[in-house]
Amino acid sequence: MTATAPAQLRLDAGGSSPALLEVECLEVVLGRGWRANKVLSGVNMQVGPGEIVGLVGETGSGKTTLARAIVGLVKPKRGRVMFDGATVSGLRGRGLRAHRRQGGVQYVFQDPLRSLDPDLTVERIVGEGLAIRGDAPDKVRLRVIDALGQVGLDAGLMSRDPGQISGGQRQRVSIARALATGPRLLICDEPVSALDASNRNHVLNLLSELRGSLNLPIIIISHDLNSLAAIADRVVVLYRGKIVEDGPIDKVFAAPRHPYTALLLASTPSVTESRSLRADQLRLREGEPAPLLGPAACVFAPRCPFALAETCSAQPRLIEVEPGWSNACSRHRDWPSLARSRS
Amino acid sequence: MALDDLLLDDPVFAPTAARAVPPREDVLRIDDLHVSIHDGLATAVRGVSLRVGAAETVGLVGESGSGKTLTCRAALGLLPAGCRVGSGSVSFAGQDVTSASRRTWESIHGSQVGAVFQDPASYLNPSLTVGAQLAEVLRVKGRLSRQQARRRAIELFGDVGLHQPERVFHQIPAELSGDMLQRAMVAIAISCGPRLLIADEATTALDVTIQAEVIDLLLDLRRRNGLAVMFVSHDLAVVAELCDRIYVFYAGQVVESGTVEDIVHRPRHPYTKALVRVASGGDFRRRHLEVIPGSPPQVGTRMVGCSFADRCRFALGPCCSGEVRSVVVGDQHEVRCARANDGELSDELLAV
Amino acid sequence: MSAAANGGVVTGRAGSVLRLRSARIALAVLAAIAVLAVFGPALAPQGPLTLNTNSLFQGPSWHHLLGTDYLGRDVLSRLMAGAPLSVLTALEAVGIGMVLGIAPGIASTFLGRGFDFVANRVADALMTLPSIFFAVAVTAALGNGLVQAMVPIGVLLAPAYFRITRAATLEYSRAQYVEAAELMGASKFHLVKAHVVRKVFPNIVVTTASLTAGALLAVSFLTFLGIGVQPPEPTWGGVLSSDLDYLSQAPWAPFIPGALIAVSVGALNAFADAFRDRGGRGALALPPLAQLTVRTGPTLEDANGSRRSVA
Repeated sequence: MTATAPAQLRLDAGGSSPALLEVECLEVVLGRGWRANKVLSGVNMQVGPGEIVGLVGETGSGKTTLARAIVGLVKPKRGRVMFDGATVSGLRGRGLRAHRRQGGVQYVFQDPLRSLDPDLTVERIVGEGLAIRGDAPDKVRLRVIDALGQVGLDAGLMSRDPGQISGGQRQRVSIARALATGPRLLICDEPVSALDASNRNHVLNLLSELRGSLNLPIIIISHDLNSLAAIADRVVVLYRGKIVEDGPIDKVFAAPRHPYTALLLASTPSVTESRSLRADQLRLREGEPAPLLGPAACVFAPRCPFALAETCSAQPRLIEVEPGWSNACSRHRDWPSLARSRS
Repeated sequence: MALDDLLLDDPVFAPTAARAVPPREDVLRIDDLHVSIHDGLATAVRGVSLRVGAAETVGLVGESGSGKTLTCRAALGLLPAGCRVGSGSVSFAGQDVTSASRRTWESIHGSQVGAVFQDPASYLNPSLTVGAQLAEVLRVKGRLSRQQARRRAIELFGDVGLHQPERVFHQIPAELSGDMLQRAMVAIAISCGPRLLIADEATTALDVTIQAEVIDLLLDLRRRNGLAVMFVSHDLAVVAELCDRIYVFYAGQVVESGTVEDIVHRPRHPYTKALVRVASGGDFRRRHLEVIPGSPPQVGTRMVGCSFADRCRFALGPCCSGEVRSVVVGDQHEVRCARANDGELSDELLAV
Repeated sequence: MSAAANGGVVTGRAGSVLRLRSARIALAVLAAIAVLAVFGPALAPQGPLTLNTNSLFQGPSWHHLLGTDYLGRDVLSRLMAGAPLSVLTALEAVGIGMVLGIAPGIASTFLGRGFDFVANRVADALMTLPSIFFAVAVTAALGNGLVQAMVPIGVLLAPAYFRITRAATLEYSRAQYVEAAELMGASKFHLVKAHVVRKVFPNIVVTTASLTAGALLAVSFLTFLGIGVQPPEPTWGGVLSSDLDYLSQAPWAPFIPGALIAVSVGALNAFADAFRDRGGRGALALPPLAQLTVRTGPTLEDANGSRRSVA
């Protein structure tokens, strides 16, 4: 099978609207000289209105860097980020500040204890974006009450500071801050991993609602595949700076096409379900040597029990095997049966 | 297995099998433990009883503030400043250590019980190689010579699944990834042949694939060395994968305990049921995410009646008055619920 | 600094500092010295310059509580009258240090690498100068006056303020909430004003207390050397100096001004320590007592409850 071009603009995603966010051939290198590390390479991604995209990957996958590059906290070496048709990755200084003040893209951090200034009241925190923009104070106040209502918090919280409210409420304040400017895209970096079981689902349900009521696209970075499965529409799987799979989440999780995605799914602990494939069927085992395929090989090859020199010596391109579902495995048709037959 | 051979030959360590306790005696036993915090201002652990048998894996599940971590720390004699055991007892293989002196704890740590915690990097000296740190433990506690300790350390690193253990021996913590560090910590924890390993949120900070590998490692160690494990976590799914029996903590008490089967498929306490529903979804389907309304009581709040009553949709009058005792409802299955013997409730809980 | 009152219990920073006994004692001492610094000459029981040639080198007595010196002057009065000169000039030096050091310290985090490099090198250079010698040299050049002596001291204190302010600002500017504000389009000025300044304040208070102690010592030393004041103007260092000249006649005498200087310096340092330990954020506060309630009935907990978890 010849490789097709990288995944095209998804013009058919839930309507005919073009992608709101486009990431093209993004390459990010962190560090300099001999310490330089290619954290992202050749990343292409689109996000359209009203969809929740789950961004998954392990430590070192580049998912956080990708999110930071989208909002301009990290400058790409190559490639670009386009928001609403305009290139934003090249903005600097005043232009960047002006773009940010519009509040089109907002970011929710992982740990509300660190991302909320402990010396400010909830009101000032949530209204900060608007104050920076220069909106009138009474307008800001109304907007703050509104945003707090959208996340299900009582306006009476406004005079408290972050230390006086619970963890779940703090994270909701963080989301309210992001909503206050009326964003058109929300990026959440592990929004619930710092929360307890009781609170997690509150926040996830909230995000799911916001997607529906505001038609707001949300990128959620998470390592918890369970939670994503419940609320996300699409999933993008990153491994070592490259996208290895990108498709509708229910299909991908039911029958992943990339062995790394399958490994993630099989490794996720479960209370009840027994999996069709076990994690150890998808891992290299003791005594199985890692295939030596050189630096240009498939990025997952060193860990892959199915890597072959003939097919995996070059990094596979992201192939759209089905409309809207692409993967980067050259053996994507063969490996599932091989895995099942491993004891 | 090389490790077993080494144990058999080594005069210092009697092999685990020969030191095995009679099957009925528990490796760890905690009876009616009460722990106060903030110098006695509040009680965070209120009458917890649990036991860990030889080669058993036992899980402690609960949210933050439920008392599971403090119970675990009390079992290790490592309570933070301001916290004190109010009453109750902790014993290892029959030896009561509740008010043990520091010297007694020093002899117990490592040789009877080992521990791994959430962030391995903060428990290792960043300027020494991990090999040196493990070898130090072996020399001091195991009284091995330098040569023997080095050999043994490399063996142990291999046993915990570290690739190229000789290379790892010479690496400092900064050169190792999170999972390698955690494996190194496990190696240090089991180096002196303890019967019990206490893991306090040991996999919480790890990637999911690594978490799966560490769980496999712990199960492997149980199989090979007869190691009992007490695993503390807020994640019911991880605990269910690893453990034989589970204790569910809420507001400083054990509200239900039983085998994994019982807890997951036949929960008798509404909180347990809610936790199971919240943790479910292993089939990765889109679903509505369950929430438990309200939030746990603040640590130290004095409760009258059942501590879960204000969030429980099955609460009735008797739930809010008087002490709620733990009731046996099956083989190894206990529940602390005022309506434990109420057939109607158990039917409702069994319904999906 | 706001003190959040919960059920009447003050849990703010000012409150927690005052809970330390050492801080209370130190503040009491400093308050007494402050009073002397302002009203010293007026409060002195006798004229500091009044000679009593028939009662030289007298020990403590009812008439002269701390005795008399080599010219029969009342030691107590001299020390009280000397307080303003010593204390206020020390404060003056510290003030100069603050003005010269704080603003560049905060700015260097936000004005780019070039400014930071230059500012650091200037600070390095200033720190290599030995303060007393520098002060002596300046007075030699500009004339002998205490003001002329304190300006170089102040200039040499500036690097300390610069360093400490810069370090604190760097640390706070890396906070995630600053990054969050940056993502909303905040200018550097806004970041400093809204997030950094009030957090750097405790560091500045601690630094000021320590540096005032140092400046007080410097003043004492300079006046001990005779720089900056013409006799018979009383200063603490000057009194100490003349006492040492007549050690054989009055061996107890130097202890008095020495103790006074030591106590002042000690109180300042104690206060700095207390403030540093308690004035910062992060001390594990007790759960407000009002919230340790007894639950009696099935009430759904109000959504605005707060929790603290014990590690």
